[in-house]
Amino acid sequence: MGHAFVSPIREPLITGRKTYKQITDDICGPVEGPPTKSWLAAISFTAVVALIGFATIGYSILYGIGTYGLDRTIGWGWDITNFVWWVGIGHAGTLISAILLLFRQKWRTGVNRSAEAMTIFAVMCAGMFPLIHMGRIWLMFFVFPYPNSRGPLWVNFNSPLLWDVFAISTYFTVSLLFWYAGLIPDLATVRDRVTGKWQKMLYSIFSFGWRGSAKEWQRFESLSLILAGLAAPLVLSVHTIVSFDFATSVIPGWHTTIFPPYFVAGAIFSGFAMVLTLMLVARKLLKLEDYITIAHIESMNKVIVLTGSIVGVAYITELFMAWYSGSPYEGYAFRNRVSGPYWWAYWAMMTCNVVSPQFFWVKALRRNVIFTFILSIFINIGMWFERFVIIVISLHRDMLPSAWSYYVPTWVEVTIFIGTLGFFMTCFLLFVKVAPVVAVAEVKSILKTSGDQYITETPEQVEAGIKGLAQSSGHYESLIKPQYDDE
Amino acid sequence: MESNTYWTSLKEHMPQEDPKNRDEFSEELPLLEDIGQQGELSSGRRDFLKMLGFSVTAATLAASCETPVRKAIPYVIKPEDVTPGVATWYATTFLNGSDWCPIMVKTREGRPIKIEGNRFSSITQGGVDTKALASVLGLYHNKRLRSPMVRRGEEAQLSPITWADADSAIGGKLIANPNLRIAILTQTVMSPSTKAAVARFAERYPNTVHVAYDPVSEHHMLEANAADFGRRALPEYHLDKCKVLVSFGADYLGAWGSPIQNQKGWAAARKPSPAQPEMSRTFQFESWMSRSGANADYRIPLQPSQVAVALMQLHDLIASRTGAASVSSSSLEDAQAGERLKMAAENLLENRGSSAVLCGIADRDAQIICNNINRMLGNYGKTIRWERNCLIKQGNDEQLASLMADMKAGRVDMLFMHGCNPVYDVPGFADALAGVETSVSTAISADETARLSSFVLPEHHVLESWGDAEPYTGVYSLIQPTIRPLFDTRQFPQSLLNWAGVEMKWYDFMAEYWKNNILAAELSAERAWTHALQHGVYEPNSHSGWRNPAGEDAAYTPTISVAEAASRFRQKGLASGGDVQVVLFENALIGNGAYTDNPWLQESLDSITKVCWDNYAMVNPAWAREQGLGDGDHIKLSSNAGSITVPVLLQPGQVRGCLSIAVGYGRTATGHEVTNNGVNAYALMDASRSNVFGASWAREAGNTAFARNQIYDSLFDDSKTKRPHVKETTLEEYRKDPMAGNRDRLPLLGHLNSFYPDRYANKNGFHWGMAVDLNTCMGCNACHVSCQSENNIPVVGKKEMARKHDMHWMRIDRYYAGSEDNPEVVFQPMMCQHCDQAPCENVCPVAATNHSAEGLNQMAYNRCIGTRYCANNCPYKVRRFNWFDYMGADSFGTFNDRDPLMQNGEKGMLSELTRMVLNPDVTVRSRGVMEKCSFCVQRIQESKLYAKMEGRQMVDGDVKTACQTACPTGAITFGNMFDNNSEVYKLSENNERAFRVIEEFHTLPSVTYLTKVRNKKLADHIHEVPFEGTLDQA
Amino acid sequence: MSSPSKRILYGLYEDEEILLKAVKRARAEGLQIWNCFTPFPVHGLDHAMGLKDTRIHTAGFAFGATGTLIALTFMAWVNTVNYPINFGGKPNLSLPAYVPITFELTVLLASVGMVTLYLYINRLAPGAKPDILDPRTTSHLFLMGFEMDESATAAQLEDVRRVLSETGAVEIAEKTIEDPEDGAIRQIF
Repeated sequence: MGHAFVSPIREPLITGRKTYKQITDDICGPVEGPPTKSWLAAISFTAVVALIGFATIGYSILYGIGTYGLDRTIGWGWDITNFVWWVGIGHAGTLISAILLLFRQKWRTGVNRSAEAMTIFAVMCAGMFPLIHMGRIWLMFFVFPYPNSRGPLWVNFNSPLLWDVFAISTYFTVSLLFWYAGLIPDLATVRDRVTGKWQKMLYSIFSFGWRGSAKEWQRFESLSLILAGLAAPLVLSVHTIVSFDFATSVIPGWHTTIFPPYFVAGAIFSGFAMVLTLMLVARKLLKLEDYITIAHIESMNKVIVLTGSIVGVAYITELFMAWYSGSPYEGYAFRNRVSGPYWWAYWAMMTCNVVSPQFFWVKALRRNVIFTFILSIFINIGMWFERFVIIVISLHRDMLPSAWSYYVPTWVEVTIFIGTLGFFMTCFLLFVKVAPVVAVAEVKSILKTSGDQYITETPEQVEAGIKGLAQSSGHYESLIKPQYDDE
Repeated sequence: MESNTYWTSLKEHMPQEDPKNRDEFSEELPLLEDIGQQGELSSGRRDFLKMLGFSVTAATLAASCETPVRKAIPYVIKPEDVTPGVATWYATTFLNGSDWCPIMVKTREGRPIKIEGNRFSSITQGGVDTKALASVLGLYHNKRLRSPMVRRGEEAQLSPITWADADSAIGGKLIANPNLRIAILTQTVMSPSTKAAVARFAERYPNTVHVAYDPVSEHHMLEANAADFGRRALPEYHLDKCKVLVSFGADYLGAWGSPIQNQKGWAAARKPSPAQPEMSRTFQFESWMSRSGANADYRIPLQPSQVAVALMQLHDLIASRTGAASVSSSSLEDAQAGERLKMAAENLLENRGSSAVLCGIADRDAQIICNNINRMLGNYGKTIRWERNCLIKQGNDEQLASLMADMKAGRVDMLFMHGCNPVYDVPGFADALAGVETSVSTAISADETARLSSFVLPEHHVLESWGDAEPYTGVYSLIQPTIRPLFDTRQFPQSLLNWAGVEMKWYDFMAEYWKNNILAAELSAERAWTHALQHGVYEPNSHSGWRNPAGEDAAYTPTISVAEAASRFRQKGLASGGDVQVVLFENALIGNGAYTDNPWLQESLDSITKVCWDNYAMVNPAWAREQGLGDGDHIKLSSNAGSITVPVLLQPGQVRGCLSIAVGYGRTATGHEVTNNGVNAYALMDASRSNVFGASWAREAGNTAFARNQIYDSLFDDSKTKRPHVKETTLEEYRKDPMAGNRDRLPLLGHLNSFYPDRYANKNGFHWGMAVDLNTCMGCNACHVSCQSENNIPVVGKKEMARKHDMHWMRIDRYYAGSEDNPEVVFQPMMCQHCDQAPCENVCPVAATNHSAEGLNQMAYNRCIGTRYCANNCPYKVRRFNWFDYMGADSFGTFNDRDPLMQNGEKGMLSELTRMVLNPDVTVRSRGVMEKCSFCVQRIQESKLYAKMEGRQMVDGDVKTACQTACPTGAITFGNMFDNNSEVYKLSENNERAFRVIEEFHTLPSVTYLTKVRNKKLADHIHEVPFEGTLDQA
Repeated sequence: MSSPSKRILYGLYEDEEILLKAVKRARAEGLQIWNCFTPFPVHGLDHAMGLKDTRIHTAGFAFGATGTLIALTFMAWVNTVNYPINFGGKPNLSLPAYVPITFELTVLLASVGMVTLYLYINRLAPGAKPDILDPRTTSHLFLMGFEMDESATAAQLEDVRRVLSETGAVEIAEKTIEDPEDGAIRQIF
């Protein structure tokens, strides 16, 4: 597609005068060098947290779900809350890469790599919960429709939980493929730079023998485009299906038709927040300010204020419908949300998700790194509460008052959740150490169109540049023979 | 179900019956595969083999016991016909002191596993109560004594001894000195042959006295009747004939009088139909929220002293109209109560001869006044009859007092304590016991009394025993063994005979006594005896049913004038002294203390307070808040007899300034830490053993967290909108419109059609359904204990119950309406509704729960992976999840077993002995599995097999669920909804009162409820009044 | 391309613009370009080299369609023929309930199939060790190479070198490498 020169009013997505060489050095540098002390310290801490988490999971499996704070009325608590929260976070990565790629949003290139990595790790954390919350996890293979001697007894294709199984596993697989397909050329780059024997061996294994030939690149681009085309609806479908877990049920507060869009918006919302949380740290530590620029942060904040407002509207709509439906159960469910024993959870959600993002209407705040970071944390918390509100508050007081109850998590549930945070961070730290955090090849491909040094260049200047170059080799005419253009 | 079993089997297994059928039977067995299809058979069989294996060992153990089993005639089968997998039913009697109930015992491979009522009793008519239902668990109690015990010298511990040695030791003393001063202390003895045995013993040892007492005594009522009618007995109350029923603190649906009979009668009078829109009206003047009060049309909360005043005032109101002498009563403090009293009087006068006044005040004079009221109303001979004297309470407190005096004074050399636990339930008895040289207890386990006795000669459990009972004059029931004695035990009458030098086995003695006395009039005593054994009951005077009994009526010949009684009563006053009045009561659910060691009863939630594993002092909520008391806060109560520290419970309907405590808790020697729970309220009783007295209270440090599974709420808590899952109306409205209170269903019915194809369009085969009559459900919990026993439902213990991990498949929901001080109460049994469009089925990812062709919502436990989604999506919240390995049945070994009775490494509920109670037809669920009411699918299958065996169609009533058989008021009906002649169809389809819970969610439940009708004035009925008082969590 | 072992004469460029022009020039001079290596996808390079479009997306569609078909037929068969079970009174053939899984399976098969194909036709596999002419081509240099078989005359070699140097190659070198032949499938996609 020839040269899409960006208009001067667009600010650069890559700052500082960079050559391709510099880009490679900047991004691959951290990967090649030995691990820093701070990195070692960080990863050993998160690894320990993760291990404690896994030990607790083992405990809950040995002794039973009774170790959770759940009861005969409230069958899901922190477990599924965490599941939905993690899945939501897992939405940013693929969304950024896929949808923004389809929309030809160049700014994605700075962040998509790490966002996708984050997606994969988040989905791994998410996937854990539906498994460990089972009463008999050792029989979890029952959820797969495999031929067996019980009839064969297949699975219940009407069950949203089964849809989840397919949605989550598909989402994970596709995200992984998408991510790794993009990673291969960059790993090859590292492979061709590193000197250490082991490094060389490892990187040549994982770079799958990429050469970067014209044909490879042609196929690469075609693949990325179609994967993006597939992943885009997939992203939307995953949280839609997760929302079906609730929307298709009969429990007041769950049985709500607006859940699919509302959940997807929420997912993007929380996903972007988490991306920001991580990127703002990463760009500082890895000195990638030139590649993850204020422009990136601002664009993401714009998405946040949009999705945040969508979520806010959804909350209000729910309340309205509860009143408008005239159903005593629906009505009570939401009155109970706002003013019941769990009022604090509801208002924590409201403040963090609806009020706080509105600050981003202010440009200065949008572009303020510290403020963005703090707010992103707020949103992460708020979105966790949203899931808690939907799951627990709806369950704890449903149709028959005789069954009403109150839920408090046990140390087991809390530890498991913290453990997944540790696991997530561990994976992410490993990733930033072993793989280029920014998609090297893609960044290079936009260097000229969105790079600082090219921003003022007109085609003539480019020509001039080439001319000079050619004259040095003394064959100017041959370079600008018109008949060579567009074959 | 059971009737079907034994009748048909009788045909099937008679010797002359042709072998073809027997072959057919053995061929039909594979039909069990049907059960297998529900994934239950495999694990069921595994469990069953385990059981079978153990019962063999148990049998060998028992075989060492030399008492040969006599001709025990099971209702049906000759012993060699005992077929594995086929139940054998025995008709026998549950008897313990004044707890009496004729029962049918289901045994499998020689193990009693289930108890049901005996339809042949004219008194209980197949009704049964929680205590009888749970007694089968007591049979397998770990802490039963394995052999006789002796205390040597001063040592604290009891040590085993052989029966021979015990006999020679005790017999030696007796023979050495025939003039030994002997006392035999028992609870009420209903057994004529036991009395005969005692008499034989007394012949031999003339200085023998027999004293009977009841932990919860009717002494004063008995004395009053002795004074008025010359009979120290209770009359027979025909509540079914009562149009108006006024009770002064008498919990006639609970523990007062002959409960099951009362319940039957009460229910019979409360079944209005469009054809006959009539039902009785009940008034309850009481201090605490009793079962009778909760079900009363008019409940008037009064302090105990005021209840007494009300009684006297009623007397005068009646007297003034009948021209009798007044007892010049003062008037009630509470004006509204006064109005109600006048109304009660009016109603009584309108229904002379078809009403009854019951008095639960433990005072002879009060009873005399009550008797006179009934006389003035002409109720004697009509609703209250003396043809058959009720003998279930015979205890004599005065004799007990004098015996204790003698014991203290050392005037008793040898004391036999049989079937009673006086050290626990008689304050001060322990001291008295110290004065006795030789004390012998026959306790079945080392209870408080046994621990202080010099000899413990353990009794058989009632299910291992021979015996009889005469609860009413001329009404007999028999006790026969349903299993060989598990341990080296012996029945007390046998011991008496041995020591009396009677060379007879107890069985022979009893049989002979029957033939010579009870059956003397029969042509063939032998046949009569066999017949009686088969039926479990023998009622010579009332073969044609109990409503026209023969027998002697009693004349009203008062020896104490009412005026005298009244003046004495007024002076005495009631519950004087102290700053609060205290009422002790027996919680009919768990009894007077003899059953506190029974985990099923401990875990059964009191249907009013919704608390289990505890007792407490019920207080008025408003009063408590004024005093700064909250649920579980400890207070110290001191009466003139003693003082206890007890947690309070804010109980709506409890009258101000009055505390009520259930007796029966606070045992110290039940054998398990967890069942030594609560506080012993007997400690507050003084020598008069009156259950009402004044006391002073003081705040104590500490708080008890109750195991309570329903939070403190009412139907109408939210926004004054009545949630329509319980429907009520008044008789007035019902007369005008049979669909009153249920009108909101009409528009709904129009919308109950679905765009899905109706799977049950062609009404072939079965569609199982159930109907529950809210009008006659009084919240006695019998159904839910029966369910626990039938379906191997685990006991989870207090800690788990407090976490709302209750496993009961069926719960009794209780809702309040109206003011905290005097709310209306409604009970609603809630179990799986077996919805035809069940939300739970749609969401199970692995198809573990789905719908059977017969409309059952079925669970395949083996398939369940425990996502709990079904439970979340159940609008009725009736699904139960195995949070821990409550049954020791998961694949992880024993380290994670949750045994609530486990102590110092010793298993309780999970011990091999206790597990003998498990029903081999029902899978034992492992950890991580969802479970719920199955409509007793195993019973459905069984009756299908029998029908097939007999080559006939199933008929209505073939299948009876466990809850249905247990319900004493017949509130539960089960059957085939496709059979337009079935009871359940008539009740749920062609019935204006029929509604289904939250029908608007279109789950199409198979369970139907019938509107509750209250017989009170429209104005008095509380409709949509919001509930004051805050919800408390946890 | 006759034998897997090839003698390659190549030039390295510093900028994709120059490479593009060089490619056009070379083709104009009638030279047969063997291959180009670039650190990132250079738009239009494939066309300039006259490469055929890839058909990988067609394969993707085929994979996806298979997924859709399998999902729908399997679920319908299970619920109506093989083991019909009554779940909450819903009809057994309830297509709306099949939509999510059908969609997921479509996406899954499409992506997995495509990526597998992609790896295969690009000879990408863990541990694959292709001959690389110049390691800098994955970082910042752009390579255009010409195959010089034995028959190549000195004149031809010179001609190529001239074109390379004239089009601004910063480095010109010659190397013999292993380069396997493309089979039918790789030809198609």
